[in-house]
Amino acid sequence: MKPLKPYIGTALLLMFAASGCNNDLTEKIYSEVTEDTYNYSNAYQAMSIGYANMRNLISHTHWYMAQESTADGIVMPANASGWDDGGIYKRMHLHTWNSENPQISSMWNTFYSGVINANRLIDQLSNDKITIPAGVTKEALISEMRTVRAFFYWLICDNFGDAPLITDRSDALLEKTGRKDIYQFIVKELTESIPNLSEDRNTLLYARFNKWAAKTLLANVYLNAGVYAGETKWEECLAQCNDVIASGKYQLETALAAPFVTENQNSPEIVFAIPFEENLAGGFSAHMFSWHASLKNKVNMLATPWGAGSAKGVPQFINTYDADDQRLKSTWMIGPQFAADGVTPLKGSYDQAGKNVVLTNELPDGLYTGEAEGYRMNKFEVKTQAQGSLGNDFPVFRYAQVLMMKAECLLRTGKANDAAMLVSQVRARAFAAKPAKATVTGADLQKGSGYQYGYVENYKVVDPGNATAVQYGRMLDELGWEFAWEGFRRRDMIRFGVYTTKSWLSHKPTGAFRAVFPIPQIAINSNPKLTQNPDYK
Amino acid sequence: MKDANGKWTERTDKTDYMNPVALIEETNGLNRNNNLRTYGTISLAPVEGLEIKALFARDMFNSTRGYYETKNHYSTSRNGRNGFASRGTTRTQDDLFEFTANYNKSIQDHNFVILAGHTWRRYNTEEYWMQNWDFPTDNFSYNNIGAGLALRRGQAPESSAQSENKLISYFFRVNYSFMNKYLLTASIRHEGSSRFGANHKWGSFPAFSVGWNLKREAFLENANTVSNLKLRAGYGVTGTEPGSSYISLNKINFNTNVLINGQWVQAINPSNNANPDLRWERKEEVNVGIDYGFLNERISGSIDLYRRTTRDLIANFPVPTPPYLYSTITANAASMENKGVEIQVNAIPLQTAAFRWTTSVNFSTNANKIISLSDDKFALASGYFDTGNTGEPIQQTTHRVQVGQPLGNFWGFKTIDIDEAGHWIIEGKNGEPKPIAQQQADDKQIIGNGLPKRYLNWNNTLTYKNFDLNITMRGAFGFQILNMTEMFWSAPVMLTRGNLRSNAYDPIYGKRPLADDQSLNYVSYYIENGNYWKIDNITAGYNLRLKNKYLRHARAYLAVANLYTITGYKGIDPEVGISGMSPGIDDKNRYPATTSFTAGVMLTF
Repeated sequence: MKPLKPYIGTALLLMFAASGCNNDLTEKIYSEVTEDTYNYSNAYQAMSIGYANMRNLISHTHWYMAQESTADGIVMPANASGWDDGGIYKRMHLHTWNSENPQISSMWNTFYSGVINANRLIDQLSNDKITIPAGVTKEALISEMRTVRAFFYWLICDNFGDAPLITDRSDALLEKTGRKDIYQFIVKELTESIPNLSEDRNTLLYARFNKWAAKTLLANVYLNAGVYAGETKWEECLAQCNDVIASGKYQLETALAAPFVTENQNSPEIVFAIPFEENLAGGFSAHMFSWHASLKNKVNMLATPWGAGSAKGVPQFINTYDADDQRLKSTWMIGPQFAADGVTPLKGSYDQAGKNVVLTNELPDGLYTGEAEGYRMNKFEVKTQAQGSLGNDFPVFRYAQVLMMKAECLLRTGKANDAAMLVSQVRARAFAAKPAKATVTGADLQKGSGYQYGYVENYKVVDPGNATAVQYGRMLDELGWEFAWEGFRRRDMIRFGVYTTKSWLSHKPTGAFRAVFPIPQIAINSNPKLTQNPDYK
Repeated sequence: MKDANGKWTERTDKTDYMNPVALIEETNGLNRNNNLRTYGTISLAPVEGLEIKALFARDMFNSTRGYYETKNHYSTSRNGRNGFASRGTTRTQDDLFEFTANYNKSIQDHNFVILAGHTWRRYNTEEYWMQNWDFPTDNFSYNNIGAGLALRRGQAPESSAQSENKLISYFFRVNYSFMNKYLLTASIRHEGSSRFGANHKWGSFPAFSVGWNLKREAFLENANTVSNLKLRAGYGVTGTEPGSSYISLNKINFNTNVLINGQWVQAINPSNNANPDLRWERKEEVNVGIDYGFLNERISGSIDLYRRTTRDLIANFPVPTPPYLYSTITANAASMENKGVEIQVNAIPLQTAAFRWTTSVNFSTNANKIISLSDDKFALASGYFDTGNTGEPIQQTTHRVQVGQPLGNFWGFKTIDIDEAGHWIIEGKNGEPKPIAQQQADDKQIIGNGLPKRYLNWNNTLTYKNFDLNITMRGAFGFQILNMTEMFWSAPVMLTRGNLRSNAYDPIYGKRPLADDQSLNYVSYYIENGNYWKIDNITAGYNLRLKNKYLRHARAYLAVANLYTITGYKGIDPEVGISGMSPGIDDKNRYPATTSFTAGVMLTF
């Protein structure tokens, strides 16, 4: 290369040194957008994350199975296909979970992300950062987000007891607030918000808190006030239920299965639901974690259930059903199983390799079972060509639950016969073939439970454990039959005093402190102001 | 492998259990990469001793990828994909401008070298990919991605992204030496990165060093035994930027769908815990050293003592929820110290006319300690956090990072025995034995450390006439490894997943095998000493110098790489990943290191 004349070179150098290379270090954003630059023009879209996160709850390592598999209706034992997973499911059944069980940290994180998102949205709405749509008021939307926040605080209060109460966008580390104070906060928030909420039940308000969904939430909070605050609120619960009933917006479905079908979004029985869609909004996979893999062929699924499945009915619970109660078969998958043609038997893969899959109501214990043992999930419809996620919406509150809450309040306030009428109303569709059996009396509801509690070894109860009669045990049984697989069982058992006192399958009581979960270890490690819940040390 | 009909045998009913040959035979993939480097330099010497240089460079990288799984692949037999294709492409562009001015001046015994400069660098990445499945035929492979039906059904994902970052620096350095005997260097670097928070883009990093060349002093100048002797001392600070962009911003995403008014729309969701205070990580190093040479460099080498203090260390730290939405944040919340000694000895122990043996030994030590896990904005007040992951199904953290402790501590249950039923007995927090079923988080303790404390390398070259032989060996000592392969596949409970290692039913602690129902656990039994000594590479060659006009030099050689490892470790290879916050984990599905033999001829024309 010929050397350039020095002055040309110098000029070029100076030009480049001073030129195009700009020194602005502001990050140039292409495929990202930030809160500061985004225009929150659609309020519903902005607020919706408060609801969208609720989908996380409905998983086998989250709130859903933490409510069911720690209780007496469903168990998640290992089998030859796996499902031991470091003992995380076994410990739920045995009530030996520790602060590192993933179900517990998952609950904590989702509950609080719901609270934190709601706090942000309340702040953004209050400060006019979000455009309010025509036809609604800012107050109504703020009240709705306060209700969403109250919903998550209800789950926090119910599952963890004492916990941090954060109501703004500050990043201060907080100590725990007492369970009773959180309960009172929830009641106050709901009481203040409800008058501003819409009374409509329509497509726009589906899966959002309208006035009636918020009242059903408040009724649930009052129903368990004795557990949360040491003071019962039966009359207050009753009043909220009466309002929802009087609204005339909701009604029982005639068909048992109707609230649980794939396209259940128009069900008049659903008061509040978490909507799912198999491609766009997945995560509801009860079929994947309960069903045996061979059941794939029952409905020509596009996915394969995980191993031999795990979540199954506790036989002692199954045995409480009346043989004529149609909820037995609509809730549980029972007996010999066939492919979609209805005639080709499905085959086992492990201890039943090559043999027909016959789901039996027999479990040797709650720790390790045969691949075909135990009844499986049948409550939610699994449509033909279902994928790994179901599109059925998950009903959080149903009209039947409003009726049953009302019945329980009446029963507990000395009006057993009035209660029995409501319970009979709910039972009617389950005994359509034998209507006479649908009717229960006030005297029936005051009986103990039909559940044969006791510790099981090798298929047999070997130790009945605490045999004290359960007060209003029949009412608890009714709740179990109606709401199995809906995430109610733990809370109901605690309210009826059996969760930490009775034995079932491989479970024996491990202490009353198990009525709340421990604060997750990861939360304690990162916030030294948090102390572990009593007796979890 | 295949059934009577010639179909691959698959057990789709078993989780994670696939026919490995079918996985290879039924997939088809190709990545094509192009790399184009262009650069130009201009240098000028307008006056004597001054040199001005400008460098412009552009590196471009393009990659086009295609991948297909046929209808006979596991993805169809298990998940009903019916043929799965993906395509992707990446483009990166790395622009560099560097401007330096160097001035060299001697005034009698004083010599100065002054350097000033500026660099500007911009790095841009674009990529996109798409997937589709349910194809009418396998014949298209990945070449007709629109023919699949999954995209029409709204099932197939696609993605595109672009990111960019800039790094700019100005630097100035002075070297001064007096009679080439006393040496002094001072420098300052002012550096800016786009990746930091708005008010923290720039950092300044000084460095100083002094040297004394004793060999130049009168008292050594004529000493025959000492051929080189130099003392050095230095202090310097360097800055580190984070590995990815946009961390300081409060990003939002639309990845979550939600039902509004009967339509599925995209919810507005915060993506991360933003950290607007993200700033430079600073590494301060103090170094004292000596370079030596004796007997006309028959023995030479160096000894260095160092202490590196990393402040404002950038890492993902756990933060509490609440108040944070997510459980980690990228922050400058730690400081850490590394110190040690490094000794290099090069020697020629034997040298005759025909035979020569040269050898070099390098020995180094490193002691690491976490000094702090907090800063003014952010405090991990518990003084520790847990990190690393066993993976499913154990789902536990493996390491604890704790103030006052070295990085790399394994944190888990200490197994001390096995009971009659085949279940682990662990040491409780007060030292008492307890069944593992009663484990609580606070029973965990330090059960090892994955960072080697000492390294030793030893290279030898022997030449005899036209033959040469080179042997390199290296080792690391004073550390432990978590043997994940044993932890997972030597526990009988894993038979439920389909297979086990042959030692799964060997007695534990000389007593009995683990029970079939003993859950997998992360316990000290699987922490092993990792000390190793590797004969890494041996090359033997024969050289021929030719008088031939066309062929001047010929060499034939035989080389072995990764020949032999001496170790007590039971896994495949004790050389495991030691970077990051969770060093020393031997992955359970690791591909073994290969030993390779090479024979070659090299010709020089």
